[in-house]
Amino acid sequence: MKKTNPTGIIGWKAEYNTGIDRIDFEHKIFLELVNSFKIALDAGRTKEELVKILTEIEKYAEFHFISEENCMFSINYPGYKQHQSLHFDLLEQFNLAKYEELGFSKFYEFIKDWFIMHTTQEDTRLKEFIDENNIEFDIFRYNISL
Amino acid sequence: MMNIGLVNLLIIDDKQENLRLISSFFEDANYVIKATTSPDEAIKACKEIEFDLILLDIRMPVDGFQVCKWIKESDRNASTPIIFMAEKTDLENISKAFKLGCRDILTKPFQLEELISKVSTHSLLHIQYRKINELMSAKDKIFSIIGHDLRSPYNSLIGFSNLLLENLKETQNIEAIKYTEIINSLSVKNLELLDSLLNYARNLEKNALQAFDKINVTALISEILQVVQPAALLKDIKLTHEIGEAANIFGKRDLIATMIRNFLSNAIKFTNRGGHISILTKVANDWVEIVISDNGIGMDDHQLKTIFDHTIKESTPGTNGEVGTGYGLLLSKEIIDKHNGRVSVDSQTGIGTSFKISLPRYR
Repeated sequence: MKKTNPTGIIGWKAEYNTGIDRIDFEHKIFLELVNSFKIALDAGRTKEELVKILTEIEKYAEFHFISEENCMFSINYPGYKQHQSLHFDLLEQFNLAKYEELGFSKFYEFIKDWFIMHTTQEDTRLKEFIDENNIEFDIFRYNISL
Repeated sequence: MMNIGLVNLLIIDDKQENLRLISSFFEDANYVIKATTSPDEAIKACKEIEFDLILLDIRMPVDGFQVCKWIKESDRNASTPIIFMAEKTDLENISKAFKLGCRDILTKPFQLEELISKVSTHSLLHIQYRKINELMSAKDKIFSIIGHDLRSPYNSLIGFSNLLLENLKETQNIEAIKYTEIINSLSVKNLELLDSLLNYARNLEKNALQAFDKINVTALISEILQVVQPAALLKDIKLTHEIGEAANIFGKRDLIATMIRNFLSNAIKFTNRGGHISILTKVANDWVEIVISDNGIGMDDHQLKTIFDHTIKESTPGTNGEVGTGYGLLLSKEIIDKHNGRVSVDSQTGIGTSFKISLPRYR
């Protein structure tokens, strides 16, 4: 696991783990996308290219939220509805930030905090639920060898 | 951007920032925006202002669908289009919104162009819808006025001039009698004109609204011939029906009947005593042709050119002095057009006239 290096790329931390492989896997991809945006930003890519990456992040977030909700639903996670609401709120925040004309740097900071806050504070509650209830979570993994 | 005048827009969302954001995109002078986080305030506004479009967030402390229901119960905004706003992943509510028959959905995060386009398109649609309703009301009002208020004076004129003529019969006042006869005949003619116009306009509306069925042309013509027979008999005119291959067309029966009857009435009107009118039906590939010919007084070039021109309404008296208005043929042309048909006319003064009506065949 890489630590945060000088260019501001975020490395994976243990505190991001939810205990469900599939969700952690998707989170890692998400982080990759956010990092790729930072790299592109620092490399001075055009506005058009940066917007394209942001669209990718937006779309991936939508997919990931549904994926995560599906998982929660199938293990009868009691906080499912509330967590879904949080996802809705995240999308609202994203929408507001998108049009606030923050400039790409500030927008990057927003996305970084947005992801980290939600993952470390909300998604990790899943781990508690799983540990307490001995959930069979082996089925929640992508069977891909990278 | 389409020019649609002032648009009254109502935006309801529980987040003040969202209201600010959306309002900011419609800052140009065309939009009058009422934005509120309070459903109560929104309902109150709906009682006072007729909005052209409402943007309504589904997810609020109060259920957006319930707010929608309340809005629809208001008098002024029962038919105002509502665009629901929902997060992209809220598939359950999006599905529910479409099932409830909302006008459209805006998902967040949204695409700016999509927001602007949907708002302007749906407002325009609604404004046009209201305009159409206004025009329909105005038209109905005019029909009503023509139907009652304009007809009754003519009835009085006709009645009283008849009475006057009765009284004048015994006197030798030839001039008075002549003038009274003029008053009487002008009144009769104008009443007929009024009725023709009314009939024409009413039929135009009928034209626009109806669906088509299969019509057996030959059978229809036979029926119509029976109806016009008495008028032909009065002038000793012979009517013949030549039937080619039996064929069907696609259309509205009473409109086609009206159309054919008009042509026949004209033929009878402009044919001399003892003359002859023939109707011939035949099939030519994908068309059914109806040819109505007479050996009457015919038309000159000027009449031929203006016969279907609604801006030039001159009416020729018939060979028996029959009065007419010219609207019969106009209406017939409209009916033919509406049925995707064609009409052509051949005529020579002193020889006769022949109208050929072609209508698409029903297979």
